[in-house]
Amino acid sequence: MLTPAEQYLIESVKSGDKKAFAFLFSRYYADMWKYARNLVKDDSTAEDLVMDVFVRFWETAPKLEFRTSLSGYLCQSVHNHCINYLTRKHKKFPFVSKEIRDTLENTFPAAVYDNPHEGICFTELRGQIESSIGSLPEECRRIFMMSRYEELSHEEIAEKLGISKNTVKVQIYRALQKLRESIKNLG
Amino acid sequence: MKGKQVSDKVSVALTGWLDNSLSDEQAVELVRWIGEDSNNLVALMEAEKLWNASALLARKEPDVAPAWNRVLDKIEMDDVRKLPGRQVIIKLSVLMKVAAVFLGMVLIAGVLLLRNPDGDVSDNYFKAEAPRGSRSVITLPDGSMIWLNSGTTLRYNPDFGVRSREIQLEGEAYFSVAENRKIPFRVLTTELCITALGTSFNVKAYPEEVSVETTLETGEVKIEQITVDRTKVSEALILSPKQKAVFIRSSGLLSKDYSEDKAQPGINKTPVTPALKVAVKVDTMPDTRLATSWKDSRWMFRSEKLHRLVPILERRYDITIVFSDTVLRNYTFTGTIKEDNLEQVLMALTSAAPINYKIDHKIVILSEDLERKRIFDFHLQPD
Repeated sequence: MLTPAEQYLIESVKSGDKKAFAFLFSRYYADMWKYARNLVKDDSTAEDLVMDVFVRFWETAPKLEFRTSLSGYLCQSVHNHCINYLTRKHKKFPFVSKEIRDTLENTFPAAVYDNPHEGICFTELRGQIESSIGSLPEECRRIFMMSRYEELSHEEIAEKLGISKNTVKVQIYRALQKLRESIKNLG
Repeated sequence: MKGKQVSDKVSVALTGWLDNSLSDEQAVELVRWIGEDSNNLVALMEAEKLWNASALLARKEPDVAPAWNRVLDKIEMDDVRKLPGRQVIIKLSVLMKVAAVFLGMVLIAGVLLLRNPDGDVSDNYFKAEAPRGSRSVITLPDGSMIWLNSGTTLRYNPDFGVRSREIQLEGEAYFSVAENRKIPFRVLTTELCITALGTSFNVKAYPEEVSVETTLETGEVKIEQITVDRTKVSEALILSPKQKAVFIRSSGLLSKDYSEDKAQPGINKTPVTPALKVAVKVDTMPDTRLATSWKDSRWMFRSEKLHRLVPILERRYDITIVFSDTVLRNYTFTGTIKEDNLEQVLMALTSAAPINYKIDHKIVILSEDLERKRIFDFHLQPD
């Protein structure tokens, strides 16, 4: 649901108020950029894609209707735009052969394969993750933070800690599982 | 829901799914695992949500300001496209049309497109004007766009784009020229003819200023000196991107020096004759935004003397600026002004230097703030 502040902001943007749009941009840009970067793995591509989304947001604002939170809406737009980009550039699962890719696509419903995350407030979820991180086992937390906060690659983490790359991956998935258990409402 | 412990092999495959590094082998493992239990798909989706949301934890922050400026440029450009532009041009034949174009956040700029009021049939032209205190943008029938700075008038013939593309300029304008190799695009000031193919450049030719400045952003332009009857009286000078050509009116020469003062000795020295090589190599301008940023909502200037900023401010806000202490004339400023409000601009200028301002109707009086000057001097004194 939209908060009254979001409601007001959106109404202002709809009526063509660039200052409101600037405010909205400065508030959400960094999060959207980080979100896009996680998917496309490139800073300037992420910047371009997120900018497209904001420009389109401005252009289509008068016609938009929001069923979810503003950050949820933006995240979903950014997500879709990034997935389209990856698909178009054949960068989604680049190491998977054509044949296996077909199997994957058939196994997963399209909605999961492209993962639209409808309606999730990611900024809220981020807060929940932050407050649940403390409950992770020490090693697991350390690896998760090296991956998500410091953004080290699995290889770099493995090298730093003197463990195998696969152990890093196992720990990261374990962290996600534990977080899932402690965060009740995933939207 | 309590997640079931998964094997290491599956965990590795799942992480591969999340970070887009999936291998064939892992993909096969994943497909097998999903088929094992209907809850597994849900588990994967939820893990993915957390994975994506946790991307927001990243320490690295983006540079928001340049990204915003890019967005702003884009939406302003698009706004212009959507607003009158073409429409106005079509309706021109219907006689007189007033179109308002929004530019920037607080400025409403007026474009007046008029038939020559004198009614001289042989000499009909369209006129686009941005009066003092406003700026505006127009789109021409060939798709070229022109940004008009305050106090600028453009004239062109009704058949613009048919056989020729000629614009008469008085004031300052930024041209983004649609490419058409067959019909060159010409900008005429009282002394110069600037020819472009497809390119973007800025021409500053206010009648009250001592020089005419042409700054090229992209492409190529040719500059020639002309007389009133448009006879070319010099050889052509070709300008490359990021170069600026300064023409000193009184000397009748294109000067390669940026500084007006240095070029002054040229006054009356060389009478211009037809075969004359235009005395130019021109100044390189690594940052052309200094010359073109007036058209955006951010206006940049670097090491600019206050007396050179004054005419710009006067036109931009339709005011008159008076110095009560002439020493202020040589105060130098560097900066970017984002907001278009006069008070904000004056605040910015006067807080950067020991200057006071007073606004009385449309007159701004600048004076030295002696008390603050003592403080400034004290802190700026060399050791």
